[in-house]
Amino acid sequence: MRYGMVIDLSRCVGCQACTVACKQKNGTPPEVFWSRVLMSETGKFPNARMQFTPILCMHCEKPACKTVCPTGATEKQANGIVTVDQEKCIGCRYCMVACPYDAREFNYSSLKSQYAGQKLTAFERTHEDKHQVGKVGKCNFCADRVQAGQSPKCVETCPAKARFFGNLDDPQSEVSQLIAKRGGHQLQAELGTSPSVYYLPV
Amino acid sequence: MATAAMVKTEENRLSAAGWVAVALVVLWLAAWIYQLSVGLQVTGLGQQVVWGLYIAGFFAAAGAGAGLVAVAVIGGAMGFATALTRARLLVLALASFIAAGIMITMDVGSPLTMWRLVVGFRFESMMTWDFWLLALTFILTLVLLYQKPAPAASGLGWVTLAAAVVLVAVEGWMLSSVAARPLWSGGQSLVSFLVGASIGGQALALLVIPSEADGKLKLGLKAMLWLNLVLVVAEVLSGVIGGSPRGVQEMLGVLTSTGLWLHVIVGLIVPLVLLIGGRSVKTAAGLAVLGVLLEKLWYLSAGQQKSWFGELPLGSYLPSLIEAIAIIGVVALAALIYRGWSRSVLRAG
Repeated sequence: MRYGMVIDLSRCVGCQACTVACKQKNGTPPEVFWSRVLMSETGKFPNARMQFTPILCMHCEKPACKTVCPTGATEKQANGIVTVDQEKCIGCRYCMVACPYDAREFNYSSLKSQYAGQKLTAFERTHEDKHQVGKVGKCNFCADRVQAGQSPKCVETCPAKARFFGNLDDPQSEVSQLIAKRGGHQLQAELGTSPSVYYLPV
Repeated sequence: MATAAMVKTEENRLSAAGWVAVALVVLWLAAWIYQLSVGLQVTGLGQQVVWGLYIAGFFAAAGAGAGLVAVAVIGGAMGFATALTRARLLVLALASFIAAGIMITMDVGSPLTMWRLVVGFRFESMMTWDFWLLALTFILTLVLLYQKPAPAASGLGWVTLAAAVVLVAVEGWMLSSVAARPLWSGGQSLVSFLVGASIGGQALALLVIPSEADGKLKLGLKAMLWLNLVLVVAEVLSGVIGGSPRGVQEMLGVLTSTGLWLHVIVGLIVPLVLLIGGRSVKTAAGLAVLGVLLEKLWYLSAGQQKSWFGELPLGSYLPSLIEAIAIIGVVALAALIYRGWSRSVLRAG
């Protein structure tokens, strides 16, 4: 079993609904994004266009972040999801340096409210223990939802249905079929980490 | 009468320097307590550049400590370091290792959980190796310092030297094995760390040993400063000419950074000119030590500034006032440790 995600770049419209859904689901601190959409321009006028690249933790098959973690806080679960144990993390940030996708975020302070200058809301307080000061956090493919048989929140939310989630080890799964038929590629595949997030070409 | 007055004046001057050091240590402790209470948000670090002055200080101090061990052991074997000189060098090496330990402790987000490095470490991590090698080198240096009798060359000395070299090599490897950072990856980080350690060790030794014993050290320091200059030029040229598009962007960022030019001018060229001219050896040595810190700082910062996603702007990093106070305070603490410890060792004979 190896959970993975397929993102269809031809469908992504850069609406950032996934970014907001992730923040709602995980209550990440202000300016911290476990999932986001990077924007760039390709081509030249009059054939220029916007290109959107949604990124998140790639849950690599051979995660560089796991190898460098000195305390074993970063682990790869049997289902392929890469997790960070907040209790074991000492906050050395070696994993952030080693991650080729800048997918990890460090909590430089205790959780602050999204509303500047105000106390944490009741909603934000429910996420406080997930974002401890001095620890590293990142996307965990909404592991609790996956365990409950649901897909990650960003997949469920995407209005363009650009995201797909499933078992990469199963050749009959939707994600495996899409990768095979549409030529799914990984980002920075040359680094050898074998990411579990694939992108379908525009 | 005049001599007694001069001695008294000298003691007073040193005492004043000692009190300044104590004040700097108190200031550092206050800064650290403040940092512990509010988190690393008081540093200039962000989500793009996550290793800064503390890590640079850690690498520089650990390297300098290893370099001092090398000077003590090789100096003993070659006969240019007496037993007392070797003792001084080893005490300074221990003070450097303590400073390195403090700086890495200040850098981690949750220092109270660092015990996990002892009881729950992951062997594959280079940071684990670094931690244990620093501890091993510290203990070996401590044993070597109190070895009785203290032969000019001993098996223990060579073992300690080997541990110190491996410590520096592992720290270089920590960076060069990170494939995600093109500037660091490859063997040059490792070589650069070994050269930096050699400069740090020889320069610190020149600051504390009697001037009549410094001939070989001056020669060695000059050679290493030249080598460092060649390495920096080679690094920049290879990045600009033969690098990947990202590597070229990184290197162009390096070329416009203040840190690189401070390192090259203040930490390499000025000390070389002073040493070649045979003037102000202590000033040259002090600047060379500062240069090692500056090199680690620009090297770390430049390696992290560029995101893998080309369209994102370069990340920026400028050490905060708290970080500056901390690094100066830790250096002052190391100086106090050296002063107190070396006196006690020398008194004990």
